[in-house]
Amino acid sequence: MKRFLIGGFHAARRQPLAIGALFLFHFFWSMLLYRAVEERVVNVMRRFPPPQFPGERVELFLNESAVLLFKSGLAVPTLLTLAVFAAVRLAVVPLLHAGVFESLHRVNGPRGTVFIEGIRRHGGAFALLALLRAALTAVPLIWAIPYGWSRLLKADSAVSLAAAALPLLAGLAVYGGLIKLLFMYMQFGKTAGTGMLRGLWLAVRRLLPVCLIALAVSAAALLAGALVFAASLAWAGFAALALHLAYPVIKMLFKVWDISAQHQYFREAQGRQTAG
Amino acid sequence: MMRPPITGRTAGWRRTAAAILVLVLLAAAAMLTNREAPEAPVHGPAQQPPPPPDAAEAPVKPKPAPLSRHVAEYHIGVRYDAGEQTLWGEQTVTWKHPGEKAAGELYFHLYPNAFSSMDTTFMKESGGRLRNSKMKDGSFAAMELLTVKSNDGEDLTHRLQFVRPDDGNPADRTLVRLRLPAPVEPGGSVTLRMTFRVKLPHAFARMGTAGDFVMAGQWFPKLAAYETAGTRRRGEEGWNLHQYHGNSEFYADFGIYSVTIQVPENYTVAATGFPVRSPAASGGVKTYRFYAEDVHDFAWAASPDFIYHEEKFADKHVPGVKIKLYLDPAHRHLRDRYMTAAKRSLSRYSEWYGPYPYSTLSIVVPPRGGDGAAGMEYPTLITAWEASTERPGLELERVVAHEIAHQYWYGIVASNEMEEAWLDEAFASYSEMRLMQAEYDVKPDPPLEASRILSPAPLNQPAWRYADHAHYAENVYTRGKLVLLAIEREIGEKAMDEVLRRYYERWKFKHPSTADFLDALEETTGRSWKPFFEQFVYGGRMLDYAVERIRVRPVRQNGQPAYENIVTVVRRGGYDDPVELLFRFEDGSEVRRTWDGRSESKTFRLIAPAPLDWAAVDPDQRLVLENRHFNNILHADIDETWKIRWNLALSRAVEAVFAWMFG
Repeated sequence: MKRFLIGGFHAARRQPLAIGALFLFHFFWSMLLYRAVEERVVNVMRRFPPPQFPGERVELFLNESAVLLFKSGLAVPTLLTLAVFAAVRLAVVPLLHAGVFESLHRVNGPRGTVFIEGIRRHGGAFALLALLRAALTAVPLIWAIPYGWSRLLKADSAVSLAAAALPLLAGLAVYGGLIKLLFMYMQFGKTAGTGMLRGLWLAVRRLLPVCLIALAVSAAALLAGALVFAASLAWAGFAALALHLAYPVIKMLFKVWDISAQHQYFREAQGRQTAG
Repeated sequence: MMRPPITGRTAGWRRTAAAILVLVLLAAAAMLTNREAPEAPVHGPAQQPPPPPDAAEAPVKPKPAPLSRHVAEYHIGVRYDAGEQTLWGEQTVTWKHPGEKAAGELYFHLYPNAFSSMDTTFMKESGGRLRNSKMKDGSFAAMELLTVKSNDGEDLTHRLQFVRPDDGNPADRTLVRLRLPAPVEPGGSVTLRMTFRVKLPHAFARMGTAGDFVMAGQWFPKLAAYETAGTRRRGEEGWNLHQYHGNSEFYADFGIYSVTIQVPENYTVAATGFPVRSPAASGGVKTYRFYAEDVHDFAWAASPDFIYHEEKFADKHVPGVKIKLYLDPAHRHLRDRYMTAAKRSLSRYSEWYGPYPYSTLSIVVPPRGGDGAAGMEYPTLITAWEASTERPGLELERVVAHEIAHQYWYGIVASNEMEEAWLDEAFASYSEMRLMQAEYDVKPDPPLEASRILSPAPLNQPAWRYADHAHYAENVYTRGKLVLLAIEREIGEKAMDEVLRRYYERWKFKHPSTADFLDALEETTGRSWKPFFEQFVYGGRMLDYAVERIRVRPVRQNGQPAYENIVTVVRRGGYDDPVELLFRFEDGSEVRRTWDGRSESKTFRLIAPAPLDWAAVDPDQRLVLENRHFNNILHADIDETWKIRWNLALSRAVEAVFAWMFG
């Protein structure tokens, strides 16, 4: 298995264009998202009851906010903003992925041309797949959100809340990860020309090694992320902000590594397949 | 009868014999008038109703002067067919014209017809639900007037016509007009005999069955209220006519009820008023006789499962009442809680407003599944919440307190529940709040309750003008209660009790309007409350004062460095006076200011050695009607470090969700 990880890492290193394209998008996207979040955080912070008021004042603040969010139209502009962000992401990212996947598939040829051709050939299919993936990933939320909300209301303390929340979040994360892997293999199949369903079937049959590879890369990425997070909390101020914005480069490297490691495995597994 | 001579021993013997003879004759007369009810005949699903029991005679006893004007006198006999879930009834009703103009027609409410189809006004407005109980599919109900005859037997049934004065809905049959053969002269009366049948629904919207339990509310053809000139500030006298709406309750004139109720033998019946004698059972049927006077409605409930308990209660303020509890077996262990809640309520309300004037108070606890009949008030009879949990919280006491408060605000002070619902609901809610605080140490939380008022609307408008039931309840119960609390906070608890006592004294057994309450308030406090009522009762305003903007800049004062702090406060809702402000500076010092709250905005300029930390309007939450508290406080600035921390944390969380879902 190590060879897929190492092979994948080397393949990723040879894709500066792919990493760069993804980074650029995420950089600007993150900046805009940060601005949107900042506006709302500042609004709340400017109104939050200062410590000179009794604790009930904070409770009133939270209760009143909940009433306004759920029973009046206060949440609508924010939801719309989130919808716009989602739409942009769904429109742009699959195209970028199409370029990345093609670039991984066709090792020879000028990177730029290959990338653009990838977008042209697979962009449409990848966009549809992304939409389908989003829908499937969101399905458990139909149950999870009401369940989580009712547990939140019944929680006596932060500890019991965490105890209830962690398994739920972990479950959702695992489910989302599985969906992502399955769709990734469908994308490999499309790129390789052997068909999306074949790719899916391959992933299903070889689910264990696929998951192990994904876990290995995720572990490394989590470690890196945790270090950066700790640093940003400790530093605060402008340094933290700069780190927050530069971090995507590291993240995109991991992301491309993740894809290319799986791609190495896909190629070998498919090769074995066609070889008989 | 012979007259014994008043001499000697022979005379004494004759006197004794005469006394015995008188006693025997009286006993015989009593036995003859207390005839056994006729056997309920067995019948199939025939068109003709079997005769219900004879309508009861009013008991013969010397009565004190009536407390109210007896406009309507009902003698009703009803039989409950548990198998068919149907009531067969016969009533003799006398209407005594209280006005000055001849009346050529009578109007009756047939409330159960609101549940006869999905197209009635009630169903269209409510969407088939009331509070949390929903109409069970196919469980419709209806009230049929089978015959209407004049006192001399003339058939008047063809003179009936359904009317829809509120919305013209042809599918609505909750109000019927009877054109009389001859008009009733002022001060005169007319008597009618009617037979009717009520098909009961599964317990929904205050009537119906739940298992073996049956709740009969608004179960008989009920005369509409006739308001004399000047009542509720009306110009000319006339009938007060409304259909049964999704949000509305009821309105009728005071009078006398003499009701005979026949139920299966193993049932116990709870009813308005008091039983005239013990129930008589024969042939599988039990017959009860109840009597009530100075009430404007009569309700009853029955079940084979009731656990009955009664206690006489009197104290310094309560002259004497028999509390009759009809418990569902599931709440057997909670008997004392119900009784205690009833006693405390009766005692306090009698102390605050006036002695409870009736001799009985019945409390019915519906079984699980009977939530459609729960939490309702009738004269001298209330229903508590359904017995669904083994360990209820204080909502048990709260509903008892609320419904007993309704005895005062609705039962005795008989406001018009259809046109001015807040006069009974807000007042009962306010009294309940005071009771829970005084007796059960429950502290009210006005800011929290106010923050839930999102669509304030005028309080004294017809019940069906509110958008839906939630809108109606939000205003008529909660906002009205807060308005009363706002008045109390301004004038003090003692003065408030005086206001309510004056209002109760003046309007007991009468029909007041909002303006009449306003008068009582102004007289007691000796000042005008019109601007307050214009905004918060007749108008649908709440208060919303907000600190809108803070600007801080360094200046010099007396050669020393200082800061000019400019704070803009705005008024977004109604106005109240005074409005307090609190300014806190970064050096820990504080300044308070007062504003009359009238103008739309006010700017404060404070020069201080330190810059402003934050500003707050109404810091002590004295404004009961303020419903947006979050904008009462504004920080001059925020901590940059924490801002970035929160931003990063939230951004990361949002990005994680996006990555999870969209990759």
